[in-house]
Amino acid sequence: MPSLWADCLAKIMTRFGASTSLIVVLMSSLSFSFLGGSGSAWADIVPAPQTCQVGIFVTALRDFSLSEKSFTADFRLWSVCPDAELQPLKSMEFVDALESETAFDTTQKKQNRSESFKTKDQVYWSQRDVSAIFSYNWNVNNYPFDRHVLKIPLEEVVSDTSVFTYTPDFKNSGYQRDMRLGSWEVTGFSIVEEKMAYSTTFGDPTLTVKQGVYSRLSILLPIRRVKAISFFKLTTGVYVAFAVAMLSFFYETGQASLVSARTSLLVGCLFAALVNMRAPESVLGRTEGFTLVDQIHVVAILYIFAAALATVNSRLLNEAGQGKLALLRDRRLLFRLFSISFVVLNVIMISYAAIVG
Amino acid sequence: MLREKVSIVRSWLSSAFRVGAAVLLMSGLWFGLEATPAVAAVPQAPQTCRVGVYVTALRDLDLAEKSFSAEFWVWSVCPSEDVKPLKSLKVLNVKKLESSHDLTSISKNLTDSFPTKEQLYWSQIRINAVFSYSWNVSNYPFDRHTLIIPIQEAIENASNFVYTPDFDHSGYQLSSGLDDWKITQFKISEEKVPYNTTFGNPELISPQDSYSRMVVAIDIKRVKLFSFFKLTIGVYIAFAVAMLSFFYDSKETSLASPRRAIFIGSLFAALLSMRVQESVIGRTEDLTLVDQIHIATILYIFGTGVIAVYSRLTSESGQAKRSKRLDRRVFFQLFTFSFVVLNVIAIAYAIIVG
Repeated sequence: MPSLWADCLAKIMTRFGASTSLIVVLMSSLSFSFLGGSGSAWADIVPAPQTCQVGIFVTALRDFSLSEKSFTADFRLWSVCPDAELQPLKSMEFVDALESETAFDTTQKKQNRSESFKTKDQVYWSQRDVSAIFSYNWNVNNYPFDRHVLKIPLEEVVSDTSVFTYTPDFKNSGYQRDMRLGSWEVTGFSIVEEKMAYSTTFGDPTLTVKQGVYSRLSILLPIRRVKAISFFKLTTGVYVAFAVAMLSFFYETGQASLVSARTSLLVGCLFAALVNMRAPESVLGRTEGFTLVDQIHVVAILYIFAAALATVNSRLLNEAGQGKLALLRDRRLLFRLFSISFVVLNVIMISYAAIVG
Repeated sequence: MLREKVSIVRSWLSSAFRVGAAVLLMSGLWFGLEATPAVAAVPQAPQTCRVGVYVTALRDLDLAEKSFSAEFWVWSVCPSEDVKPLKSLKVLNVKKLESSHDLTSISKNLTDSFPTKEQLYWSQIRINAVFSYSWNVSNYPFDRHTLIIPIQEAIENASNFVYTPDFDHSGYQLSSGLDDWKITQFKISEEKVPYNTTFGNPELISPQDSYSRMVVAIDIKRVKLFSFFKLTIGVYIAFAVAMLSFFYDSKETSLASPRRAIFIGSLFAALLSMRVQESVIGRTEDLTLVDQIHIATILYIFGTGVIAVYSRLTSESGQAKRSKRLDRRVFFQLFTFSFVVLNVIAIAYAIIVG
């Protein structure tokens, strides 16, 4: 190689002179070092990550378990890759899945008639059927007016985003429109690609920064409740208990016995409301949130307690010889005040839950 | 001379034109003949296999868990060794699935199917699955259900493969009885299920995939109603006790006044009974017959409370006799008869619509 360079230089010097030869030498050495010599500048340019088009079609959503905090989804996943070596479905993790089963893992070489990978005549189409139970923390604060967004997160676990990213197949992804969801309805569908950053490289020796970023596809399915009969069934007991407690205002407090009709009625109502308060837990699951059903129960219990206080007050008035005033206050004032304010409070609470959902 | 030359050139040109046209026509015809693959592109009939299902067990009909279990054999009879529908068979709506006895054998064709074939490929598989099923218990215990076992081809679309149901040999014979239930009908049918997606198939531009699905539908009805009696006896007794309160005097204000004690006790019993039934027929968003009976009872008991107050107020105004008469003659009869009539209507409706 040096002899070849020397020959060329000698020929140039004889033909164009020394000064021109010097410029040629300088230019060629620069270009050589830039292009071929060390090649360091080229090596620094980061190549674009490889990608495959990945899509999902949800065929079934079921077992919405508020108490188990989970839901089940059946779906088909596919990938369309320009290269046989890329197999994103093999290295895909179902994030938040409690259980998952896959079947019918197929890969076929297909003629490319799609708009993706235009330079490729043939692409690799892989499919897989999945059934998975996903963990989902149902927020039932506004039950039965609750709306939820079910999330199916799929993440690449082997290659980080510098090597591979998903390209969502927006066109073909979706869900089966005639899915039977019982008392629920799917109100939308979206698929987004996100970069999930972890403050670790998971030991990947090729990464120098202490951060691993992986491509994630998040499938979002907003749902809303379309039947609210269970709310009616859950609250009938407490509303009847409240109504019975209101009847207590029509009983006299003249008698001294502690087991007066009025007191016993209120204790019975309180007990009924408390028993009924336990029922929603089996339907809505244990939650740290203060749900609408909880609010209704707590308000009813407080009202029953307040009715008991009013009974004591009425008794004291009776003892002071103002029996008529006590009777009048109970039946004309307190009964109306309690009933109307309870109804108004309930309307406000239910309206708020219906609005914020 | 010049004219002659011109006419010769013209005749050459015209003959050349004719020859050219003929060549074009011939080549067009030739290419047309060569293009007969267009005829070949006419879609061919999809491949098919005769597929049947025989149910050997139905159990764990669990209303609370919204599921049922089924054990069944699926078989396929195919004209070619390459077609293996049981390998690409997908059982839908399953919570759990186990398969066993996956067998394939070559058999002599003595059937009416595939008459051109002397030998057929007979495959069998035994499946044990727990199916997700949303029980509609609105009319419990007069509820009728159709248990569905859906089996779908998962790989080949309907233009390549379809099931042919084996009507003659499909059926059921349960190894153990169904206890509270009775099978009233067994049906097997094939349907094409379209999906509004290409599943990413790069050769397809618009959704056109539909898949062959075999649907086994088993109609069942409940034959034992004892659980209904157990679920409602409490609430009916609570109602009956509440009705007794009409026979107590409302003049008495102490709680010893049994009238108040009775109706609050009845209310409490009805509320508890309402909670118990959920564990038997499961949680549902429907207002079931059992719910209707409980809610009606609770409202009636509340009604007796209201009447007790009215009676008390009437007594206070010095019309104790009138209030007693109203209680015993009017309200007791009105409440009892209307409750019975309401129940008869609700139960009759449930029996009819089932």
